[in-house]
Amino acid sequence: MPRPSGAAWRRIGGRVAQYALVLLVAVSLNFAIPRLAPGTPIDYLVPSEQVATITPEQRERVLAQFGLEKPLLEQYRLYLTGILRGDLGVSAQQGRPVVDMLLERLPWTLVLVGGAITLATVVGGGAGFLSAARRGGRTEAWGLALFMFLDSMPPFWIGMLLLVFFSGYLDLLPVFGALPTSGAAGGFGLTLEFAQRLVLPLVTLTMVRAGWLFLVARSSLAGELSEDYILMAEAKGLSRRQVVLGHGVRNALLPLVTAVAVEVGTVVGGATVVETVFSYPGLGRLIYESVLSRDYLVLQGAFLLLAVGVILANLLADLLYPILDPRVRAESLR
Amino acid sequence: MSTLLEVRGLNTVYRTTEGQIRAVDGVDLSVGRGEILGVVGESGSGKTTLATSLMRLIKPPGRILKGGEMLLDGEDLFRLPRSEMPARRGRDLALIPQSAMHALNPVIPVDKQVAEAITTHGEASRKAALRTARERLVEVGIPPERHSAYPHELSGGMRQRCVIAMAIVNEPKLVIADEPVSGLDVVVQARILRLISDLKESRSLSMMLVSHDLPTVTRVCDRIAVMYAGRIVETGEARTVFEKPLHPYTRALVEAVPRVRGPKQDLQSIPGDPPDLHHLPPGCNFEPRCPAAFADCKTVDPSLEEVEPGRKVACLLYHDDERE
Repeated sequence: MPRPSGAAWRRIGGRVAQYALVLLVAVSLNFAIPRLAPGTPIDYLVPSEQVATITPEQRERVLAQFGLEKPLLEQYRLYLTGILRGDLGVSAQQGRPVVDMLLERLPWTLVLVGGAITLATVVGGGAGFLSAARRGGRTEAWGLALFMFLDSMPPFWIGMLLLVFFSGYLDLLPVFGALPTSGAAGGFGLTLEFAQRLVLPLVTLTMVRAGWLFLVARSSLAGELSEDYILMAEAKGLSRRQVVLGHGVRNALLPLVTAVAVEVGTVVGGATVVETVFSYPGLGRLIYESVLSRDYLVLQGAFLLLAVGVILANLLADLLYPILDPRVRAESLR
Repeated sequence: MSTLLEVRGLNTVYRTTEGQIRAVDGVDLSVGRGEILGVVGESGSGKTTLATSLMRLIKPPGRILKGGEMLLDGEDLFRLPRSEMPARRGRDLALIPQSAMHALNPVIPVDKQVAEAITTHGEASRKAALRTARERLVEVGIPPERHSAYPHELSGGMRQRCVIAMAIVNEPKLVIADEPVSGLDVVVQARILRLISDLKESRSLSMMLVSHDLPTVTRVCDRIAVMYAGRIVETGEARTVFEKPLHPYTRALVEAVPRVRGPKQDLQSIPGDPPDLHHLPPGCNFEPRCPAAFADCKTVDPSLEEVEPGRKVACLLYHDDERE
């Protein structure tokens, strides 16, 4: 792998600038969408049972509290500077800073989503590669059927099945939350409790996402294995195994990297459902709760955080690509 | 000249939805030491399947039927267990595959790819292998500053040279080249053919060169085998076959060559299409397109018979005894 040259650094700088622009667009949309939604802000900011009964003075006060009486441009400026200061407003329901609520949930989701993506990539991608290498055999037929099935199952359904089976029927794993609510042991005991509670949501999310990565890995490697350089590698005297791993998989990794990056966004979506099913205290569940209680600022903050996550994942893939593929290196230098 | 390669009764079949087709149909051929045998035929005549079969790299749904022999230096490679083939490929016999433009791995520098052909066979260290690889690359005309280039940074001709370097790096007994100059422009074609001729002289290379281009093959080859519908229909010394073709198909191939010198003529093409291997005619495979066909051709399937010393033809015009 070549050391980054001056040109490579310029390229990296250019990419980062591009993504910064994308981020600005995402932030602006995040600002605009609630304001384009039907109804008045009061509908969202005041608990619904009180909307009909509040007085005009109270209404003014609520609007002023959220800065909504100011002109739109001024609101936008305040929103942006707020983000820069790390201020995303205050939750209408809980009266706590949104940033605090998000940061409290973020680690749980990072563990869940990070774990699920890693597992789905290793399991799904690995099985996909294996299936492509064993084309025409029984491994391929069963693997394909299994992962296609997983790919078409809704996450909440798989989650509920696992929940019923492992927690309800077998009584093996705790069902609820991420940590025991009472009598928590410290240190190792706590870690164990957490691990036990993480298993089912993690497995669910992995199962749901592995199918897609399996299909990507499989078709990518199958395509590479029909290339002429594979025939040449075999004709040189490499064993089939060396050819598949050293030449085929090496090239088939490229589409998988893209797929994993795209997957980050999708997995976060899946996490919302899975976290809700398992009452897991992550961002996804926070989003679900906030939708139910129409806690708009919390939603806005959560979306912002997700957008940042997805953009970072894509940036990472974009930076990884030239390292894996010399052709991309050459193109972006042009 | 002693015989290096002797192939007898090679049959390669493919299973398709319409049934089984015989892409290589009972082929016998031989290559002498230091000789280049040209295998000529139009697309779909089974040339590539023949080349791939000799490497034993036919993939399902294709397979080589049992009963054929492939003697390389007296040893029947078709009898070897499959697991022993990797050790032979590249060292006993090497392949220059069709469309060499794509025969290089896009993400690995070319010198490393050549070196890999050495390290996979032997005791040579990575470093020594890389050194040998670079020597070979120089030998085939790649300047040292291009050695660590990636394939996409090289021209088609350069890539072809790299593939040739990769094929000869272990000094194989036999090199099988499948359309080594197709897809290159004419000037580069000429240079690559010159390189092949030079290597033949300097390394006394034995080679089977597969091509659809009769004049090209005639220029570099010692002998020619003409293939039609999976069979060899004519073999002989290269110049003789080109100048005095016997089989009507070979004659048609020669006439289809545009002439640069002499009076202007309309370009001749062979009427009709190559036969559908699912539905071969009952008699001679070429009969439906043959200008010289007569009644017996519809019923008798001619075998490859020697008509002069070193000259064989599968055509009833030359087989008095086979006519009914």
